[in-house]
Amino acid sequence: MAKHPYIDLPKSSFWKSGVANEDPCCMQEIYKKKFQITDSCRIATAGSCFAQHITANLKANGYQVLDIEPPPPGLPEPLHKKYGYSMYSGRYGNIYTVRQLLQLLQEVSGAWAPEDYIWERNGRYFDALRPGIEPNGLSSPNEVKEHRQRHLQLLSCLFASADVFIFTLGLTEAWVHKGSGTVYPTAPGTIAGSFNPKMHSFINFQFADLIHDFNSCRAVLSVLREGKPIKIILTVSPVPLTATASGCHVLVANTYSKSVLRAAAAQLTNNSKDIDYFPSYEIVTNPRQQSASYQENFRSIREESVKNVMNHFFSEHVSIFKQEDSLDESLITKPEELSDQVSFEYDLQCEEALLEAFAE
Amino acid sequence: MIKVLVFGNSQVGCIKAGQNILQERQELAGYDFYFAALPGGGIGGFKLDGNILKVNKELEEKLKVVWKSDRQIDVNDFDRVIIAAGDNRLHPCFYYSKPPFSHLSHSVIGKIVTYAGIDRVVGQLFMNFPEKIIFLGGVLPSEECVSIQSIKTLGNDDREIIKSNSLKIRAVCDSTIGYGKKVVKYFLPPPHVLSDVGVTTRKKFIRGGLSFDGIGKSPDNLHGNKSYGYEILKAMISTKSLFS
Repeated sequence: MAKHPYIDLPKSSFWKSGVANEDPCCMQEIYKKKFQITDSCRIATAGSCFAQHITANLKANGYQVLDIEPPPPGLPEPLHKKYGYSMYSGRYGNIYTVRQLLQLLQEVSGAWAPEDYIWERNGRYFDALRPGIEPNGLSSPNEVKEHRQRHLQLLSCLFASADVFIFTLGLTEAWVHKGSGTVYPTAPGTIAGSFNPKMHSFINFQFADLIHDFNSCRAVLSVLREGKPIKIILTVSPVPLTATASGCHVLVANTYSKSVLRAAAAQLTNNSKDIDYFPSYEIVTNPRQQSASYQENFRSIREESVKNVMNHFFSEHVSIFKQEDSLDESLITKPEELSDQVSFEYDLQCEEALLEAFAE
Repeated sequence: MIKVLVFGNSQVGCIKAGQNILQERQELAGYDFYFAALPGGGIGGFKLDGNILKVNKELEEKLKVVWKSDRQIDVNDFDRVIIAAGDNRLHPCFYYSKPPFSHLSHSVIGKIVTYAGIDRVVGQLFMNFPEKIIFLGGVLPSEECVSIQSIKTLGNDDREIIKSNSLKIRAVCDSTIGYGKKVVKYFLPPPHVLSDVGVTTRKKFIRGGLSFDGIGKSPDNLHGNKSYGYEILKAMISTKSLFS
């Protein structure tokens, strides 16, 4: 047989053997970790709403996921998500865009301050940069400021102490305060506030923006951490856009958004040994699944699909429970059982989903 | 005459002792107080059957009441029922795990006040007789209580947050909290009986914990003394909205 560049490649390099004939729930070599996450690694998580699944599953598998703003012990557990607790490592709600993450980090470092970030609705006041965490708002603008100031103080501790940061890239589209460039996670007027075309504008970030913003994030993190390195795992959310303001068909806009995010993640990952990429997007959108990954609205991810994604993750980053050789195995629940016990009926707090209500 | 039942566990003791002082000083005109306490195990031994509070048979001998010998209490015989059992709504165990602490919203506090650490029988009383119920809860732990000493070593930021949250808890408890269309009243210890951050009781109101009859027994950090009971009842009857 004539020699050619494809002859010695593994099965995973070919569509037929890697996808068409491959079990979508157990794909070989789709993810190879760049670095180890041990039981002593302190993990911080953030990102768009799919990242909540990652946070919950890491916790359930024994990883040390930081929570700098835990729920008060007396708050009933079913209300934790409603008030933005336990979703991520801080009570920042969903962070959909890299610019949003950058501005948060810059604000934590004191290098930047948002403008027009207190929104009003029916006499209640909302932190526009995390509007979903207090569904009834707060009593005054000053209370919003006070809560935010403390939030930032605590995030400073969080980002200084984490060893690994897992961030899920969600969207390229956002709404911006024109004067200051402050990027909001939701459009003004959806949860609170009101849309003013003179003050607010739409932005659809491009590849170069993402690279620039993410590298800036790393620079700010380095300052916050006084140069101490941090490992980063990037994922792209497989949850499609609920709506687009780009003027394109939402399917086209979604493809643009996810493509740019995915390309940026690749560029960042390829250029750094400290940044890994976990292909949750690919596992969910695998054509073998023929949309079976999605719920009836073809947007939310089915529980079993989330489980599939996380099983691939834990095939490389073995559950901490499996790493604990010194423990009496009879005393612990098996990881597989634990995985089954995790409630995948996870009540995702997703402000973006509110757009649906406005679209109806 | 307003008929008031003080109902609970050993926490009823200091209220009974305080009532004795108020009566001696003739500061309790217009109120007729009754007490029912099941010391030593909380009020899980009570159950509500219609409007009758009953005690589990095996606990009957422990029940202390001051006005009649049978072991059934008809809630409808009273205009108000003060619940002196369970964790005080200001108790730090509801709001803080470990520092650094965060500000809490009125909405989050409202959920905690409403749902956290409520005995079943108390929940039934809330649901069935909300207009009669005044929830007092137990005494906040002494400022000298070993398990809560870490409060003294907190930094200024955390102490200020506790103070700020305590003010909000007071505001929430002062507002009416509804169960459907019904409303329950909460009463918190007045600030002067509490230590500086407002979540522990001053030592002078704790020293020499009392048994139900108001006589001191071995000192403990979890029960008030007669001065505490006096201050609580005095503040309660000064709060006209509780009895109107």
